[in-house]
Amino acid sequence: MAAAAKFPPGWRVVTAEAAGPLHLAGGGENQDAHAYRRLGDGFVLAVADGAGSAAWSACGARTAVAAACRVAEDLAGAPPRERSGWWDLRRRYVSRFLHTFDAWAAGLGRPPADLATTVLAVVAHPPAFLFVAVGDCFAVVEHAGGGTHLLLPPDAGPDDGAAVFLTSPGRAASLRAELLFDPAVTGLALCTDGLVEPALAAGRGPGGGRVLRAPQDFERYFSAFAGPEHSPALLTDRMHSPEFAAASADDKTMVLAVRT
Amino acid sequence: MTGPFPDVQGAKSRLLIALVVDNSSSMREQDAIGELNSALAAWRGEIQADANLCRIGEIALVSFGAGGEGGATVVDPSGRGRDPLPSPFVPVGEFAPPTLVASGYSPMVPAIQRALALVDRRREELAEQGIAMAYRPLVYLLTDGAPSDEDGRPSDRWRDLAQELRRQEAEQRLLFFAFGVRGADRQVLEGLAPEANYLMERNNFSLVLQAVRQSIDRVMSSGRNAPAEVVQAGVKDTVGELRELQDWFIRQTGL
Repeated sequence: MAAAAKFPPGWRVVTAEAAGPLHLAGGGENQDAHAYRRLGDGFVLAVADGAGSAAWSACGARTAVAAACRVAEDLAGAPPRERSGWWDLRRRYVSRFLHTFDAWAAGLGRPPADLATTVLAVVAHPPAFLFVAVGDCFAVVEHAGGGTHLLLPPDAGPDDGAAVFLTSPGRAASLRAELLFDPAVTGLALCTDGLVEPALAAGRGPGGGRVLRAPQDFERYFSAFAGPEHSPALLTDRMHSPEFAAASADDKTMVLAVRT
Repeated sequence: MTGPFPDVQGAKSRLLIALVVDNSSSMREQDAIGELNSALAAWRGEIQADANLCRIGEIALVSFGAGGEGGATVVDPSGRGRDPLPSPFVPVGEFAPPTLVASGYSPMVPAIQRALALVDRRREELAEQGIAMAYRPLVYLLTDGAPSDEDGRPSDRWRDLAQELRRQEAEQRLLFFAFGVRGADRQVLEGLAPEANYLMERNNFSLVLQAVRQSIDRVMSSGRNAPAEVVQAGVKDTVGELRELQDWFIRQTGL
């Protein structure tokens, strides 16, 4: 489903998700989740990717995005008065988010591993943005006149093969919490790792390993929705296209916030 | 039509699949080799119908019987008989297995070791090009017998190999599956793949390759982070269902 919501003036949110072809073929459910809320003049966006191997991971993913939004509403309904307050907010948000997720997950009465999920959230009071992530979701930022930039690459874990989950014992060491202050940000895209293949480009890093980047034309995802002419359903259609299905068997979710 | 959106990006990850197949002389019995050749030809069509697998999958084929290095032969998986091979792996879309001929002993262990080395080398080549593993490489053994050395004497070197396979699985470097048809040594299959061994009745390579196909799907749907035991348990369920279906079919049709 795709949706557009009333949002702080000057911003438009568009979301789209598609269950992976193999999940569909097997009668399984989409294990991705997403959510967003308005925070006064700001907003919070979140995506999560439940692990395909965990029995209740779709529930874990929904719990993760719900916790990310609830804690943002509790702590960041208005921005800190001074920029220095963002560092304190970062600390408190991370701590409260993990605590809330754990408490809600415990209430489900399942072993934590059954709820394995990655998560990526951004708490935004432009020009300030707080990104919090565990695992291999990724975030792309668009700057006015500056193109697109893979701000938060997917963290696929050691040897590119073992992403850390929100339920993993090692999550604290893998958690990323980054602050961005940039009045030139004109778009944010939060994506689950099913979109790495169709949407990101790759090259070799200085050490020879793979380095992912947002291709130049990624900006078309933002420009498509900078005006009112395109329906969000177009993005959903694209996610369900044969080309996207061929690119990745995984579930795919994209949440866009675009300055209009 | 991409509408207002960019084109889909090129593939930047791979799934490596290595088939280690028995073409020793015992495979002549009741034309097991013919069954294998037919099953491989049909399997080719199945995997090539999967657009995602065609995009990311690469296949290598190692046989063990007569010829090759110590009885292990890296077969051209494109069926073109290229010598030397530019690469032991071909994209799934180019997989066209040649007709295998049965002869020689059963040097299974060198063949599996050869396949592991091919996977390692290909993984390194791809890493140098900035291409990651989409999922752990998958190595499949298909046999009707027991391992021998190059001179046909029974060999228990598979016990050492089993330890190496467990180590690589624990490090999430690969998943190994052992499939046997009538005549295969159950103890060896269980030793090589304690949680992923399957002994099929008759020379049912068609069922074996259906199970291989299902295991690939299971790996792809479980994600690259799934523990080996979770994937293997899922494959076991699927193979069990396939067997039940097959049994039902035989009961109904007598075929």
